[in-house]
Amino acid sequence: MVFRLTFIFFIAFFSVKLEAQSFSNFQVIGNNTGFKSINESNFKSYMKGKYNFWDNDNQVLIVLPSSNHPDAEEISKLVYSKSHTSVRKYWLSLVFQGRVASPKFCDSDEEIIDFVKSKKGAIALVKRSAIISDNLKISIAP
Amino acid sequence: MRKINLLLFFVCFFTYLHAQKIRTVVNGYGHMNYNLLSDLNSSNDPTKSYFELGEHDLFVNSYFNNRISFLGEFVVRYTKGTPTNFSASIERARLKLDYYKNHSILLGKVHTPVNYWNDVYHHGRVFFPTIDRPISFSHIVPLHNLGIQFQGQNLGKWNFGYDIAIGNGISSTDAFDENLTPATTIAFHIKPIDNLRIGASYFYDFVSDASVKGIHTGHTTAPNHFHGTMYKGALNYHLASGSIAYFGDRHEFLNEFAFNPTQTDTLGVANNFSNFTYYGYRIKDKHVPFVVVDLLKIAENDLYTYHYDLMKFSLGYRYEFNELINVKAQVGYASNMFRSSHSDIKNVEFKVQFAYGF
Repeated sequence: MVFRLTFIFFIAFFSVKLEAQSFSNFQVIGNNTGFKSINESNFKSYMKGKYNFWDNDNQVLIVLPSSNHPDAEEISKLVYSKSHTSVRKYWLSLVFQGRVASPKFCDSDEEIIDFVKSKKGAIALVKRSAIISDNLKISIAP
Repeated sequence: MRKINLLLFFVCFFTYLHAQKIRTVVNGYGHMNYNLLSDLNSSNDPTKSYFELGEHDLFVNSYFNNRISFLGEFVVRYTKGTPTNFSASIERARLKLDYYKNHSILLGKVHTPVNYWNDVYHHGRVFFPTIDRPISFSHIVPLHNLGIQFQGQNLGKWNFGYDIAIGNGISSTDAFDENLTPATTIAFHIKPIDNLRIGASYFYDFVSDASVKGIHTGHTTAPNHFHGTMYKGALNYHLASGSIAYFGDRHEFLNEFAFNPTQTDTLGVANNFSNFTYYGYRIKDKHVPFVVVDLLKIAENDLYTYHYDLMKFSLGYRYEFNELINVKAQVGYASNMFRSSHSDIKNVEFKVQFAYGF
């Protein structure tokens, strides 16, 4: 009985965890990044500020949800495996070191989409339900 | 007429900046301390209690275009003896050209990338895991480099990074160096997993007059533990450093090791070393109790920093309200572990620090 309960709890826990860490609710968008598909690991590396330029020589401009954005916490966990406060600290520290350009923080998906539209090299994550033109959509492979 | 010309110049300049769409980000950092210090060797007024207005730092980042940027860090701090009892300094002012992928050239004044602390924390106390910098920063670490630096970062699978810096040496100022030989730093690091950085570096400078203390060392005048006549001869200054830093979700660990041989014709090679170890454990995101063991040993025959030793144990606690403000409290005990004949130290301290950024 105890074993069965433990097993059910284990499965339930993992299901929740998998759901919480899935990209299925979100869409990657980018402007002139030079590709239409990216794997999850590479996407996370770019979003962590590891690279200054895309292969097409456009500068990598990272766009992130601000504290006022309703999905800030979920996106922070999904991309950085950190709380949103820790993500802001991470970026503050990197910029202070002078190693990367500061990311753009936006309050809503609409603001993120507008910014990405206007800047070559910009990349972001928005809710899948947001209205996005096809030329900005980037598919993500697991 | 001159005023009109000046006005026209500024109007044209800002119009030009606007036309170029230069993006500038300005931040500020500062801290305030409370200190309770007790000298256990002193019989007269052994204990002192005081508040301290710390450094206040204006941090500016400007992006001229996709590849060229400017970073400046301007600090105002209490300085006894100046007309206002404050002084201002340029701690960083550098132009950066990202010339190819993750490779850059930096020109100007930077923090010498000899170890993790000097490369990452600079003057932003809000980023410090503890209240104080490692002891070695006040004695043997060459804090600044004014010159040219070649930098690469996040290269390959191991996220390899390198820094090669050539510039004014430790006896120089921001406008003058007294000899032909520049100071040289070669540093590299890897980040094999997230939150972990392992690095090593080597620094060399030739000092033609060891009594001249420039502004790029931790001390701008003679070391205050030495009261004799300063050695005026030439000195070769070597510093080999190693750093391991891990700042994860729960565990935080930093070790900074430095080996500092200085060589003179008079007393030969003096072998100095320092080691700083920090461990913190994060509880529920915001609470971080921590422990620090910090030591420095300067050899008897050293003619630059002069014979000294100090070991400090600290226990502390950091509470992070958010990424822009934290408070730290720390109790520490410092003594001269090797019983040096030149210094007899036995101190107990309690410090509280509010550190903030905006």
